[in-house]
Amino acid sequence: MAIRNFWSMAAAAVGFRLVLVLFGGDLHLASRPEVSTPLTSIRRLAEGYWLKQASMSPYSGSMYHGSPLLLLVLGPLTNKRSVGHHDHIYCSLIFVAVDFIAAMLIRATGRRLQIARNRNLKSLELTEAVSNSVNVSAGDIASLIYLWNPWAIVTCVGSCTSPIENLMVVIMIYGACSRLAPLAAFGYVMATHLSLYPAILIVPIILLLGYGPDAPPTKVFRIKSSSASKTDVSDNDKSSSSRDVQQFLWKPVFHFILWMLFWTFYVLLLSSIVLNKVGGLQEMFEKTYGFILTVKDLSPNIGVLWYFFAEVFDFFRSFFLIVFNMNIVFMVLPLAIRLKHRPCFLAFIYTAIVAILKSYPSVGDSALYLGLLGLFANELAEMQFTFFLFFGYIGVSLLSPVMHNLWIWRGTGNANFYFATGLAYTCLQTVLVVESVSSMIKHDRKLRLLVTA
Amino acid sequence: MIPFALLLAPLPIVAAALAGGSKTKGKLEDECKTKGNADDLQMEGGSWKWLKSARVLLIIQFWAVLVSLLPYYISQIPGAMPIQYAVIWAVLSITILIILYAMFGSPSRAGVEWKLLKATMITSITIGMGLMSIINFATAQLGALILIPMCLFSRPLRAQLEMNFLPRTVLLASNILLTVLGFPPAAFLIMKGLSKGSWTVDIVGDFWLWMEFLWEWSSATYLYVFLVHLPCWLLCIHVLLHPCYQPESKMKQE
Repeated sequence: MAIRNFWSMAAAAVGFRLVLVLFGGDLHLASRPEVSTPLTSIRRLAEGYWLKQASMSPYSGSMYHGSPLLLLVLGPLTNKRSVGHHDHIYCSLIFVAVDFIAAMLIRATGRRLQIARNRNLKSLELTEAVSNSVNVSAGDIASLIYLWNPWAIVTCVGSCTSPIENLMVVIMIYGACSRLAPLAAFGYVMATHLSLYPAILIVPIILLLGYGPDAPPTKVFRIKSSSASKTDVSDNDKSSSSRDVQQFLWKPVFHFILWMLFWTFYVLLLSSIVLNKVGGLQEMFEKTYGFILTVKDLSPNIGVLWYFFAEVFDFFRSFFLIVFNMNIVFMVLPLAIRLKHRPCFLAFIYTAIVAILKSYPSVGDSALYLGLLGLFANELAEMQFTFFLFFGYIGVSLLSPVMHNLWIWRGTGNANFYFATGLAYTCLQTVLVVESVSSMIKHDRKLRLLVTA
Repeated sequence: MIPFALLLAPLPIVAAALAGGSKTKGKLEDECKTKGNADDLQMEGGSWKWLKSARVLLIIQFWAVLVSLLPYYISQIPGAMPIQYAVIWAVLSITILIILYAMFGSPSRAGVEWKLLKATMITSITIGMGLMSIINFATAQLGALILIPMCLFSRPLRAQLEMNFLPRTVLLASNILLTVLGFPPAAFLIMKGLSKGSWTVDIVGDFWLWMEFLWEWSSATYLYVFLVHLPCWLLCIHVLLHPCYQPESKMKQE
């Protein structure tokens, strides 16, 4: 059942953002460490743009570490000043539109997942058994979660480029769910170009293009076919078997790889053109990907790496850099093996893990995976600990600025206070990831039991 | 610090027990559902039933924010006495609350279970007390002495009808006393009376002057009184006056 007030609530969310953008200049969200990071800060982008206008490398000031394409698109807007409004207001207005587009794409993705879910349940003859418990419009819920998430609103109003990165990830997932290889490849290349970590999403994207949207495990269909064959003739058995069990389609994957190579070449060409005479691609890679992987900037944020690498001895720094960076990569293969039948959910899990373990996290990363979590409202209806996760997120959101204020301004706290909040935040996210994977596995097991019953 | 921690420590445990108990009931109802009794009210799974109580909390918090912002505009009115300011403030607050309930639905009609509402209330004061203990420990301690007994003892008046006479009487008296004490102006009156020894009659005007003083000095106590204490008190009122559908639904099932 669709949400009745969807469009009014969506319009209210956009209106709320516009009001904050136009009149909320006193909030100073752009200077919050939870909102702006060295990679996503518009202030740093403005400095990079200024350096480029002065015929210097945008990376020579050691402030800007983002994409040169963002300089091209958003840089001119940072120069415009509107009287009576705060800085970078035009960038924030663009981010409002970006957030709305991302929400609409999340909704469209939810629609496709819903269609696939209904088709799969119908083929398993479980529509009535499962729909009685819970059957809500996941796309609408996910879209509204993304639009009304306070963290998405803060990120949008606070002048940082996280909404654009989130949009690229959503474009990638929507394109893969719709089997639009050019669109999926564009989103993938742009997301990877902007922040490197979405590179690991190539696994769920290929699974989505090959197998299609999320489905129960193949074993469930096989059990259904075998139980049906006991009471049916072999011809129907063959036809139902070939119909239900999905075969991997290599053609869209091949198209995706071709388009990915094309978009990669195109993006690098554009970057090379932008950086002509003021640097080069090598410096871009060093200052963007190198900056991410080597954790050079140790200013505080809501993650845990800044404190760890501030304390670690220089002798062991390389070792721990390898450990922390490989930590994300090590999770890719086991999760892919276990959840390959649900690639969209796998993409959500990867996004959440990246939000936890990346070098410079912000609340914009959480806004993305919490929005994607809404896509699985039906499958995760029996998820546990949701009450404490919800209020834990609220508590950490309120605690983080208080701890930062005690440390930096009042002087009655120290770095441990802020780091403790980051630790609590990381623990909450870990519980969310573990519980969601556990609930999805339970859901699949329940489907198998219902089929055998 | 240690007494405060001991006072605050049971809160997450109580919230966990209330939320977990509600989930257990959800499972029992799920068993009834598999027998063929499909209940349309149970569209959502047991784990997510707290969403309605969270919605109530958000509405009340939004109301509290508006109430805390009202004095700035009320004080622009020229030539009024403090007691008049306070009365205008109270009338506007009640009016805004009624309007918000009309727009978003009253907690009584939202069908929220009282145990989940109590768990939400306890969780919100846990967060509020935790934050306030970092900012202003004395205020948090005084507030904890009032709020925590009020919240832990709260129970719907209708649910108390099932108890025996003596426990019911004690619980009823405790609830009424703690709720009256928990109301910010009443708490202010008692604190002032105990500290200064003089029981003034103009409590409303004095309360306004005190709030104005806190406001002008940008005190965190102002935020505490209106963003933590007052919403918690209102939630407690809702728990006490909850229509308590649970026994009726059980009777219907029987």
